[in-house]
Amino acid sequence: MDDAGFIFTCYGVTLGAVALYIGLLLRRARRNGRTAKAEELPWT
Amino acid sequence: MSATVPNIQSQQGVDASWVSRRWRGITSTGFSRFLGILAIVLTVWLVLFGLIFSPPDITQQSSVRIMYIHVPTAWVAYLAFGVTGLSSAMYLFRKKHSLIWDRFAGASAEVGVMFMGLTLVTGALWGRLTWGVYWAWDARLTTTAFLFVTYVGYLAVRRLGGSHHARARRSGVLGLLAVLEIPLVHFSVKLWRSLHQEASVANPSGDVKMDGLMLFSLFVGLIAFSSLYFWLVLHRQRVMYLEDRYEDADLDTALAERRAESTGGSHG
Repeated sequence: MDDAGFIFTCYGVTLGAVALYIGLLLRRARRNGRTAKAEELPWT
Repeated sequence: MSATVPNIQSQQGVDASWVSRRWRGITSTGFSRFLGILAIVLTVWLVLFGLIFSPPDITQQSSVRIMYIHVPTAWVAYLAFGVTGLSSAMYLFRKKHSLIWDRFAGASAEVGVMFMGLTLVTGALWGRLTWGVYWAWDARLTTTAFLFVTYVGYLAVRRLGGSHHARARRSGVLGLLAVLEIPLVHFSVKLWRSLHQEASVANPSGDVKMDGLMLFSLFVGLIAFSSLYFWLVLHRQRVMYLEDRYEDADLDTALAERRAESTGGSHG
């Protein structure tokens, strides 16, 4: 494949950024949801 | 006000179901899990079609594979900022002024900023291959960078402090104004002479000159990133709810402590 370095960097950066964001989101959810009772959450 | 884990934990105790929910996901529901699985499956499809199954372009060769990432990230960023504008309007103009609209606006803007940033990065890589430069002060590139900076500013405004409703009003007005930039970005290639190509698929003539498999790969990318967007926004607005709740509880604790101190002081 021509220009493989650029193409793989493009896919890697995009998917890596999304994975990183999901990781941060999960961490924030755990930190802030520690004291929440299930019945208090509107989506449960 | 304490910045550490609040006292409410010791007052209320950790919910017994928290340990099990920790592993299932505090912000998860059956629907969000389904959406998450769909997003992951479609993203795997996108990688397979983008890197393996789709053919190289006659003029751009393999660099066209960047399109399957670049175009969907731009589309999702537009969608996200549009949802931010709509949610801002719902908060500001509906009688109830429900904070859920404000949280959707904030969550959507945050996810949109991430996708817009990725549009700029992938566009720079594609530009280096096709134009020979990472960046040019071209109309489309410049207006896109301006849109990105505007929404970074929007996120900064959300963090200025004050009550949740003050935050919602302040950012709601900004969200309504910022969305007006999207048509400017989209039509910049028509309004000014631009290096950037015009729309290949969403053009007014409806004449799409693209190989079927290439078009399908692009379509997979659009659906994959759209489902990722909905999944992320759903979770982000739930995390925002938890953050708001945590902040309120922390404030209540701090006020109770201050009242206890003043009562103790008056007796002493």
